[in-house]
Amino acid sequence: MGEIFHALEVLNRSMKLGLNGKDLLRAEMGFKSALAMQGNPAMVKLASDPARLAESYELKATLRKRDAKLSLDQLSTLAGQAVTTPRTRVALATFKQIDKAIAGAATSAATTSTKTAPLSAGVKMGAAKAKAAKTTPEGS
Amino acid sequence: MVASRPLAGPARSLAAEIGVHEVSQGTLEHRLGLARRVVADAQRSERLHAGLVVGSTALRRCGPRADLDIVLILDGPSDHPPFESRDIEGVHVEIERLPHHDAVSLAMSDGWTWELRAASRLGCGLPVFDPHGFATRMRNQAAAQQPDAQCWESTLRDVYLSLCVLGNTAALGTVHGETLRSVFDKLTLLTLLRGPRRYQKPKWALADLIHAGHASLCEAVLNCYGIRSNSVKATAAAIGRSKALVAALYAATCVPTHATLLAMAHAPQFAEASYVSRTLDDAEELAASGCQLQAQYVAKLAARLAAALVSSPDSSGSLLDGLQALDASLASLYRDVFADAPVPRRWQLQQALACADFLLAETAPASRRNAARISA
Repeated sequence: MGEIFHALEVLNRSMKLGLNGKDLLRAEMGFKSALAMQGNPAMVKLASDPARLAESYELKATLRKRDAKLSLDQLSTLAGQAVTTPRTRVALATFKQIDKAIAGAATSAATTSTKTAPLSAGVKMGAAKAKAAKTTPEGS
Repeated sequence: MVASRPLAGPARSLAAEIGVHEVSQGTLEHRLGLARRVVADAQRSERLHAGLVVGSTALRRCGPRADLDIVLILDGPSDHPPFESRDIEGVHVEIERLPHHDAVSLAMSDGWTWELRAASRLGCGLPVFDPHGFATRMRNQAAAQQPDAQCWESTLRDVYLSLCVLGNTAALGTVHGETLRSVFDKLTLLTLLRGPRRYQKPKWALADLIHAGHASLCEAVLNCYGIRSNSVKATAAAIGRSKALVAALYAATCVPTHATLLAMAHAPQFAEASYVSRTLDDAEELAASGCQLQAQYVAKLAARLAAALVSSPDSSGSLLDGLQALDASLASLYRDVFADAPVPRRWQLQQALACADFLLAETAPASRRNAARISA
């Protein structure tokens, strides 16, 4: 795991967005949740809880050239979705779940960090997410 | 087309403006009489197949300063020049000579803006001499032409992709107004290309939209161009700002001045700039005729055409980016032109989407034919 987190970190630094680790984690989880809801067949039955999702799934993305371009009908559907329900909006419920998970992770991380040597941000976040997964009611 | 609600403010004023400025039957008859005299005169030395009045007179929207455009369809060779001008009773008459087979071939195949416009010009003409029924045949053939399927699909794709980008933008800002204007320009073009009058020139675009029953699209265009008032003051400001941009842009790119280009009339070495200048001149003519809303639209469109002169055709950036890269002061002048344009709103995107979907539904068979052609 960590590809998305890494990408967000690069964006954060290159675009000087000023996001802290908590923001980045929140963005990563939100992204995965949105992706899970949009692009996966129902049969996969992905967890709706973002923290549990992050625990069990990682993103492996590749871009391949389509055999044929999207048709105008498909483009119309895509534009319709963008205009009526922009993909920039993640459901409020998802954010609530994410915030709850992060709050739990932050508390646990604060207690453990006093006893262990400093870790890199990525490792911390990974640990926090794993911990969060265990402490989330739905994920447990 | 875009919406079924009653027209509001500017669009309603525009519809009224166009109605008021439609030429009277008396003026039309007078001009047709002049055309008959020209044709009778030509018959003494040339074998004519037909004589048509075309342009603004044929479309009943000629102002007092407008030329009288006549096309002589020839059945044989002529010693006269293909283009000729003369003044008759204070009316400037432009005569074009066209061999019969050349005229017929104009409407033989599908085409894009230029080809469709050329055939439509004759197809919408008023015959003043037509013993062989040329005008009727030409009207039917020109109306049967289809916009080039590949260009059509490519333009509609651009519209949808732009709407995807705008739709997925969390906070729309002034800069997105540029994209929205580009979307509505394309929708205007596609909509007009479907009608028998086609896309003749920017000067007539809004009037032709109203004429073809697309008043709501017209309203959407006025909205995204920031045109709300039909006051003389607003028109003077729009023309003044566009002229300032054009003057600075010509100076920066070593193009002759606006006045020089107009005086040159035919300037093939500066074809694009010449088109911009003539469009800007049309805006002033519309303003002088009291067509304030159309004048503002044409002036602002001239600014967009001018900005396109310095944008690379394959550039994915906006017109503003092209100007900014050349000179920041040009970009500032361009922003002044659209200072009154509002920040795009979601309902405007929905209007554009509805319009695009309407065009897609109307042309579905053609686009599917095209898809098959492209994949082959």
